[in-house]
Amino acid sequence: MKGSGKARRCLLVGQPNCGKSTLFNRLTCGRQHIGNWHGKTIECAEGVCRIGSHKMEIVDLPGTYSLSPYSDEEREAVQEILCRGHDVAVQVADCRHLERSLFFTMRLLEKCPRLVVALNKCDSARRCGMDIDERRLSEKFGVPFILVSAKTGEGVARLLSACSPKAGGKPGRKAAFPKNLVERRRFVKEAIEASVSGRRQESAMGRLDLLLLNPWAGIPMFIAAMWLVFQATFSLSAPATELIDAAFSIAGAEAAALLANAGAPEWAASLVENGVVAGIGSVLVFAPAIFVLFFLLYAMEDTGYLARIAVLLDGLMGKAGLSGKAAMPLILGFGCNVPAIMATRILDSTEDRLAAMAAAPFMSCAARLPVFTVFAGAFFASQQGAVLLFLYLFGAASGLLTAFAFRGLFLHGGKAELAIELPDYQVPSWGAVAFQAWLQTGEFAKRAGTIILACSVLVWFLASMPQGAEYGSKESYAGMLGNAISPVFAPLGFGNWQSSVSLMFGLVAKEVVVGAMASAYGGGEGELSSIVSSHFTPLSAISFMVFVLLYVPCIATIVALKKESGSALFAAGAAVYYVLFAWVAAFIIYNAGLALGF
Amino acid sequence: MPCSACRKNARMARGFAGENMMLTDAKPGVEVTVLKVVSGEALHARLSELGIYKGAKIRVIKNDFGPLVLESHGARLALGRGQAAKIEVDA
Repeated sequence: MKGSGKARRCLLVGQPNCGKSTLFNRLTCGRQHIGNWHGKTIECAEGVCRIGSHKMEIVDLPGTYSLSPYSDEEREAVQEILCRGHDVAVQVADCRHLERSLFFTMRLLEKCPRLVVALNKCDSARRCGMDIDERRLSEKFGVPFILVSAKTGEGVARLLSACSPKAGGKPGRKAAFPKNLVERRRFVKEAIEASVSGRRQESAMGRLDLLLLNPWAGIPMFIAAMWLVFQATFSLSAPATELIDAAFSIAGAEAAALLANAGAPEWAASLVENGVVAGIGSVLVFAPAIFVLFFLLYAMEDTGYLARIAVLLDGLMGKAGLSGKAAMPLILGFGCNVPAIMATRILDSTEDRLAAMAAAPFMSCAARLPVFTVFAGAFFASQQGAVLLFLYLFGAASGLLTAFAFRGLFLHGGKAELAIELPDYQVPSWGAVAFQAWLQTGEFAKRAGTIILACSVLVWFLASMPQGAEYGSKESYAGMLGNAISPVFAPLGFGNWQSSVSLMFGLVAKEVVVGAMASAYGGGEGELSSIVSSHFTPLSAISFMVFVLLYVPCIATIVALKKESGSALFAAGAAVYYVLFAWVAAFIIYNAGLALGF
Repeated sequence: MPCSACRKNARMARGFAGENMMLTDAKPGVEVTVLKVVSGEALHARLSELGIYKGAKIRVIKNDFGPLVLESHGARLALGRGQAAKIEVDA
């Protein structure tokens, strides 16, 4: 038998948002991202599940409604089902939406005879008053049906034994399904009537839609919700931030003193203090804020609100030439732009995708927070939340403007109308949300230890060389480099060489801006705010923040743009465009501010 | 939101004398039955995957401006007005 020697390959297929990734995580102890909306998973993920001494290879596919795909991520799923081999396929079906799932079961059975159906979310179906007879469904369809709850783990062991070679290896008895569409629907209806008792009651949460989707109430509530998220990002993380800050100050001073006592050369002490501690410390203090931001964004995703935003903003997005569906990837961009660019795969037309991709890097990601916090904290301490909301809205507006211009100039047609499913509201699973946010924070910390450290040390090196030059003076290499490019930034209000150098290194990643600046000024993390407030004016601080907001987010974003659009020209053009756009926007803001007398 | 004249024109163009209404004209809160989906094959297939096909019962949750919000087989859908204008329903 095929695959008897090696691990069996098991596909998790099913319609969007039925809980495939949750089940995948449950089976493989995996780290797949999960969210309560249709189209969350956009790539196949593979993992290994151990059952005793056996191993099973589990593949998590993006959701698809049928075997005729519409968007890129569905295409990937269908290709995997039809073209690549597997030993057993598990159709994950949402208990609460059985009719459509069973219809899909019939289609799947034509292609994958070894099928096991996992009726997922059985716990919440039971709570809604539904009672499902799995045995009767199994008889009707000729394949095993098993009630499971990926969230609680109920029934998962039974599912695995049904997938094992002993039980589920044989192709299911070929049940005689009607060929005709209408008769198939009747077949499904009869099957449901025979096996499901108790009607699904409408939850009170359903009525929330009337409020949340009403434009007059919904849009202000959306903005208020976003403002709360950003505000909470700071207030909730403040105690932890202060703790890390204090730890780094002590560590920096101690390390320098230790090195001095040990008789290490002066440059080594400077490297540790100005390069390593100033660089990493100034970035790492933001880890708690990043955690809170991702936690809140993921929690919002998990409640089912995200898809509602797509409906709410459909009119606005339509004016920018995008489908309302594009709101979902763009909002993910508040966390990180790279997954946002990848998530544009859920859009139905290529034109829509390209326009949304061009707009995504304007969404202010978590990496830009450190810059905003330092500057907003130094100049606008009392209105930090308002300044941030302004920056976020400004970024989003720039993105929409870009999509609009891009659509008007290059991309005609292919405008897809909104047709999406709205997930059921649910209370977020806090544990999973916290875990995902923790993973993101870990990524951030890893970057602080690698790329940010490297850039900070490089800046330190440039700032201390050539020999004899005073640290961070105009005569150092960094000073010369900064002075060479600073005329470009002088009309924007920040012509000092330190900010020019940090902006240049910021092309690598936005977090680097703060680290590089700390190293260039030779100050610790705690001091950066005071250093900044003596070198900038409130107006030039705003201009600087706007520039940081809009110019190329990071190299990874540009790489993602190239990969997802398949065009190096598109990615390169976008990168140049972002820099020019940022320059013009900051120029207008700075000079308008000057003219108004700020 | 298209004005009533536009909607009427769209209907006339498709050859309906106004006897049956389109989904865009359905009032929120009512349950309607789909009589016909007047569209190309791709949209037809997509809508049927989402539970909108001839004979399906749909409850209209919201229909003022912007996309319609519908409920079919216990699932909520949001559907653009252009597409909803291609779905003929009973009153």
